[in-house]
Formats: sequence, structure tokens, C-alpha cells
Amino acid sequence: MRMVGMSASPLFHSARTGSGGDEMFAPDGTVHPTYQALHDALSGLGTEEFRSRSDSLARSYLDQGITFDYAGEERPFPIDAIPRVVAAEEWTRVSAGVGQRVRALERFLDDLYNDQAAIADGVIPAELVTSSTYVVDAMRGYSPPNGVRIHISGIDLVRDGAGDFRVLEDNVRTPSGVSYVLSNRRAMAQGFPELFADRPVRRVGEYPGRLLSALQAAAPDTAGEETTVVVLTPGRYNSAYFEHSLLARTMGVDLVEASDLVERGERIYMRTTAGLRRVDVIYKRTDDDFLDPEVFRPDSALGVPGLVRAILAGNVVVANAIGNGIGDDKLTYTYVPDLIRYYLSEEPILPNVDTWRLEEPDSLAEVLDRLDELVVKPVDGSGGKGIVIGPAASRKELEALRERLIADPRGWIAQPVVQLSTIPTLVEEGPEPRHVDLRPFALNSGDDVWVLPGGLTRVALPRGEMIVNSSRGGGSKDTWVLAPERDAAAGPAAQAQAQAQEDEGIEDPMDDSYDEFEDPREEQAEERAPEPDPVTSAIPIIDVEETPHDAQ
Amino acid sequence: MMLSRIADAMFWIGRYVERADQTARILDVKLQSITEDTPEDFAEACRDVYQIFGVEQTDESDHSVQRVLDRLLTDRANPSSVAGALFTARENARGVREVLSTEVWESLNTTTLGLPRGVRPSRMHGAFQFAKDRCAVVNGLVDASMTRDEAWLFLRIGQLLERVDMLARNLQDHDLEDSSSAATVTLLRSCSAHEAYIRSYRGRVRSARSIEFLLLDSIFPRSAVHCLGEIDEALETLAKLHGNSFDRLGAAEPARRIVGRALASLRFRSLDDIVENFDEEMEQLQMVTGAVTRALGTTYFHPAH
Repeated sequence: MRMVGMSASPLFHSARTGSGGDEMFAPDGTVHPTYQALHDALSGLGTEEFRSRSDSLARSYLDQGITFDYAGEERPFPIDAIPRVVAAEEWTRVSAGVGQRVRALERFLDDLYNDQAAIADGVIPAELVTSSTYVVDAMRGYSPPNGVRIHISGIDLVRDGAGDFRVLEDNVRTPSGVSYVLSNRRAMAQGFPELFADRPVRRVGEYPGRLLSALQAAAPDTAGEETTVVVLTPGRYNSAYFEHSLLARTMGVDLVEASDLVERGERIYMRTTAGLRRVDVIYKRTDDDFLDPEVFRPDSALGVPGLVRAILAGNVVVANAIGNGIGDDKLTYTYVPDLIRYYLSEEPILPNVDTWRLEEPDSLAEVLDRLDELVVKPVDGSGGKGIVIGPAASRKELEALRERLIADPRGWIAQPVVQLSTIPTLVEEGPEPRHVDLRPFALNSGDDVWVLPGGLTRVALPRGEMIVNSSRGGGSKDTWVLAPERDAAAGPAAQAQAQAQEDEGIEDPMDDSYDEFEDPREEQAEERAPEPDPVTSAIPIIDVEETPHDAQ
Repeated sequence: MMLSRIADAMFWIGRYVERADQTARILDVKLQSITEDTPEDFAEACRDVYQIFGVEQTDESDHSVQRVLDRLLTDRANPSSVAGALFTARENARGVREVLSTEVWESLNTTTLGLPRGVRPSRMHGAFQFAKDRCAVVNGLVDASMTRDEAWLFLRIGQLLERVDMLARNLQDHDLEDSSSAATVTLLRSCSAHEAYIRSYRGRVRSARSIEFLLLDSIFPRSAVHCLGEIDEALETLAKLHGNSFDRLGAAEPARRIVGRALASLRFRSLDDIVENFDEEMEQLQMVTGAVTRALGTTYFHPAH
């Protein structure tokens, strides 16, 4: 069997392992239809050509400074040159499911900071809120001008044993990684332009324009004046600084640090070379705790004193809203399917991963009993911090964990080990299956939740590793969402679909404007004002009298 | 209108890239001449080189070409070495990426990635050439890809100020008594002015005329007078951008007064007068850099609110 594999496709010979859960190869070694075109195109390149182009991708990331901060050192973010492909029909479901989740979480946060009806109606226990360190008392009673608190979200998905997407966690505070979606696509289009020829891949480049629109839509009333949006970064030593800078640059707005901002009379201003200038919307990429020392940490020199007062006075909007942490608390996560039913009267489109709440005594007992086969996560952790994977942990680690769980059951949840799907990924010996997850990004403008067709596929590079975070040696893959087939059979449904796909941008690496992140097209259409009367046509460029009359 | 912090960083990017460029040019010529001629007082020659860059404290072990290279070419921790200046420029650029063009950032980033950690004397010319070429690429991209907005003006002012400063240091180090053509050629070459001088005056180089060329020539882009004139123009544009368009005296801003005085002082005095107390004059010219930097600080980088 290996011989057959080798002669047919030397590039992928060690990627066909015959095990289940691979997105490119079925257990019998055949290629899944979604990946067929990509597989053939990559195989056609040959191992040597593929590897040399992969190396140039890494080199170009270093040159461009596409890095993340690892232990005080700038490292190139590893990009794997074998893309992930998601079929059009499956994406429709993902997109709807992510949008549904964001809408439910919006309702939940609004409810929680105001009426708390979900508690009164018994959908969630009061302890969920009273025991959370993420509820910010100062924000009680606050409602943002356009009602949006989750302007930007990233919902992490994994495939379960049956190959279906499930939600692993929600990120509604400061989800990061979208810059890699944009950079990966650009790098792939430059390094492997011919791969895009076979299948229509949906574009991701309109994200910055959409983000700016969503942020502008969130602005307080500026009495007709132009809205000023800024991105707030903790500074260039932050691990996601590259992303902060890219987003500011591609939106064309200022990237500020807290020390650039100042509060005067419950308004926020930035310090410019011409004095103070009012700021209306702040896309914050810092933790809540370091935003305003008046409210959070009086001992902290970081932050903008008075920022929260300015927000409550309705003069500035911070995105995402302060206090969203309760929305992606991992204990809240366990209630999200109920919240969807309660607020939206819909059935959840994307299921959760089965989860035990350890504060329930029966669950705690069961989890303690099966600690060596479960994954245990702290409710407030991010970036893979604090996660203990039972089967991989030592006896000593499990003992220590047991004590921590008993001492603080509210602080932990447990899940069965999800066998994440794999995708062939280039490692030292050639492409081998490696585990992946997916983070789609959603933008809420108030009128609509838009899900970026793509998202960040993170891949765990060490063999067998299940945690995909870059802080744990994770890399990423370009994620291709295929556009629906154009030559579908005629019929009312197909026509509707064809209409819908008019609105979907298709990736074209040969397009001249490729290097720019484009604006959303509907906005361009809106801004096209009627042409003024062509007065200049009355003034000829060349005076008729002076034109030569050679022809006569 | 831009963030003060970013204006400040742009100014320093301009200064550091120019510093790297000038340092590489000066070292290239001076070290080559030391290596070729093996002067009688070798230590003295090394001390002279250090002095141009403000390194006063040296001991015996520092007096070798290798040590000069270690300290002034490859030392990444010293912002006055070629590598250190480029790293500092790159760090500043990393903090202001959203106002630099992507090309400018990438050229600065790849420059620092390509800098050698150590260079032997036999290979030094290649290393200087690399640094000069990379600075030319950065400057070329700044010129060709950035709009002439405030950000660009601050970078430009930084670049020109540093150029005047390095010229003043280099001239101060020059021995006016030594009117030999070898010494004069070395001076002109270290200011990248030899060919321009020859084209302008033809024939043999003359000491006094060379000094005049470097300080007073109005159309040589590295002369003190030319640079000061450009700075004055940039400051004027900056003032206009900030709405101070009708400044009748052209001297409302402290930085413009400082630059204008230095410019007038050089341009409207005879060369004999300037070289009368040459060391002191060059010292003062260097003080202009600091004074302008402070003036920009009060007006733009840290204005009182």
C-alpha cells in the first residue's frame, strides 16, 4: 500500500497514515473530494519545489516582521504551506452557527449588566455571576450607543470524532490572530499563485474595511463631525503587537498607547503635534484590568485615568466593551446552548463539546474519578494556559490538579479528550498529519453579524500535540473557504445561490489590486456620488485654431 | 496632525539612519587610510577616529582596527555604532509601522537581519558598503513611497540635522594645518564629497576650498549650508501645516530661529572668519543639533496641554 502511495504522490507519502480524522485523506488512503484539486496541485509541484517554496514563506515572514513575542524574542509566526479547505455548504453552517452564538452572547451580556432576567428565569444560576471575577461592577446599567458589546469575536471550533464542528470556546474580549489570516493569504497568493487557479477561494481582504465600519457604527453621537477611531495597544513588547499595528495600518487609523490618551471633562483626547484631539471609538487590545487605574488597579501606572467615566458619560466607546469577560468565562460557555434557546428561541447550530461543571458535586466526583482520561481547563485561562490533558499528565501532576479542583471547583471545567482532526503539515520528514483547530472571526456592526470567510487554522507542530497555541509551538495554515459551485443545475434554488455568490469575493492572486486590503464593495457603491455636470468639456484641451490641418 | 509620540519616533528614525550611513562612510575612508599608510603614531590615529564619534575614553587595547570595528561598526548595544544606529532606527520603526510605508519598514527590518555580528578588517569594506547600500535603499524608499506629510517632514528634519552634526564632527577632527592633498582627499571622501568637488572645481584639491565646499556650497546636498536651508524649509512647511501660515518674521518658532541663525552665520561670513576659530565654530554647529531637537520637543513632541 505504501508503494502505491509513493508512486502516486511522493509528496504526501508519510501523510497517508490510514488513521481516521484526517481532513485530506480518508482511512483507505483516498483523497476527500474537497481536497482533491489542492492535493493534485501540490503533488504536481514535487517534494523539492514544495519545500523550497515553503522555506521562502518563512523567510518572507521574518523579512516582513510578521512575528510574535516569545520569551522576549521576536519569532516569525510559523505558516504551513498546505492550506485547509472548507467546503461551501459546511461554511454556511459554521457562519450561521457563529453568528447565532454572537447574537446570543450579546443578549446575555446586555441582560446581565441590566435586568438579569436570565437569572430570574432560572436559565443560569446567580452564582455564575456572583462568583465571576469578570463582572465589572462599574459597568452595571451601561448600554452602548448602538447596543453592541461584542464588536469583534473569535469562536474556537474543533472537529469531533464524526468530523462535525463543535465550539471549544468563545473569545469575546480581545480575540487575536486575524492578522495572520490576512498575512497567510497574502503569502500563499504570492508564493503559490497557481494553487488558487483550480478552485474559487473566497477573499479575506475586506476584513479591515469591515472592522472600521463596525467600529464607526459603534461611535457615540459626534454631532455630524467625523468619527475618530483609534487602536489601543499595550505597546510594541506585547506578543500581538504585529497585529495591532497591521490593523491600525490597514484601517488607516492611529495606533495609540495609553500614555497617548488623556481624559478632560469626561472626554478622551489623544496627544498630537497640534495639541489634543478628540477620540470617539477605541478598539482596545489591552486587558480590562489595565484600562483605567481609577476603576481597576489604583496602583497601576498603566491605563487612562478617567476612561471609564468618559464611557459612562456616553462620550467615547470602547470595543470590545469593558466587562465582556463573563461572556467567555468557560463556565458561561457551558450555558451558551441554553442561552441560545432562551434569548433567540432557536436550537444551537453548532454544538458545544461535552463539559462537566465541577461546582456540581456529582460532576466533580465523576471527574476526580476519571482525571487521567479528561482534559481539565481553568475557566479564566486563555492561550492554552493551565490546561491539563489527563492522558498526557504524570501521576504527580494529576495529584496536584486533584487538590486544586477540590479547593476551587468554580475555577475549572472538564471535557473528554476531543480527537482533533488532522491535516497534512510540513515537518522535517515531509508532510505528516498534525492536529488543527479553527477560529472564525465575527464582526458585529449592530445591524448584522458578519463572519469572515476563512479564519485562523492553528496547527500543533509537535507530533500528537493537541494544544495549538503559538505560545506552545503552534503554527497556522491559510484557510480556504470555497465559493459555491457556479455551474449548479438550474432551478429556483440554484438561481438564488448564484445571486448570493455575486456578493462573495473570489481570491485572485493575479489581480493588480491584490496587495491592498479592499473596502467592502457595497460601501464603495454607496459612496459613488453622482458625477457633476461636465463643465470642463467646454474648455478644449487643444484650441481648435491651433490644431494642424494636415489632413486637408 | 499626528501623535506626538510618533512624530518623535519619526524624527529619530531619520537621525539614526543618517547616523549609520555617515558613520559607515567616515569609517570606511578613515580605516582604509590607517590600514594602508600605517601611520607612525597608530594609537593617535585610532584615537582620532574614536573622537569623531564622541568616544573620549579609550585605552591601549582599543587602538586596533579590529577594536574600532567592534565598537563602532558591529556593537548592537551602542546607538552610535553603525549596527546600533540601525537597530535603534528599526526599533523606532517597529513602534510606528502604521505611518511608515510597508516598504520602508521591510527594508529597515531586513537590513538589521542582515547585519554581521563581527567583521574582520580584511572584510570591512564590504560591511560598510552593505550598510551604505541599505541606508540608500531606505532613503530611496522614504523618498519614493511616502507622502510629504508631517511624518515625512519629521523624518527629513532628523536626517538633515544628523547630517550637519556628523559633518561638523568630521570637520572638527580635520587638521587644518595639514594642507596636503592626501589629507584633503581623505576628508572629502569621508564626507562623500570628493567626486562632487572634482566636478565642481576640477583639478587638484585645495584645502581651503574643500572646507568652503563642505560648509558653504549651496547646491552640494551634504554641505552644512544646503542642509540648514532644507531644514528651514521643512520647518516652515511644518508651521504651515499647523496653521501658522502667516509668520511675518519667519521666526515665530524657536527651532526656525536656531536654524536660521546658524545658516546666516555660515553663509554671510567669510571663510577666513569661520576658520579663525574653527574648533569652536564646529563645536557650536554641533550644538545646533541639540538645540533644535529640544525646540522640536517643546513645540511638537511634548507640547504642554
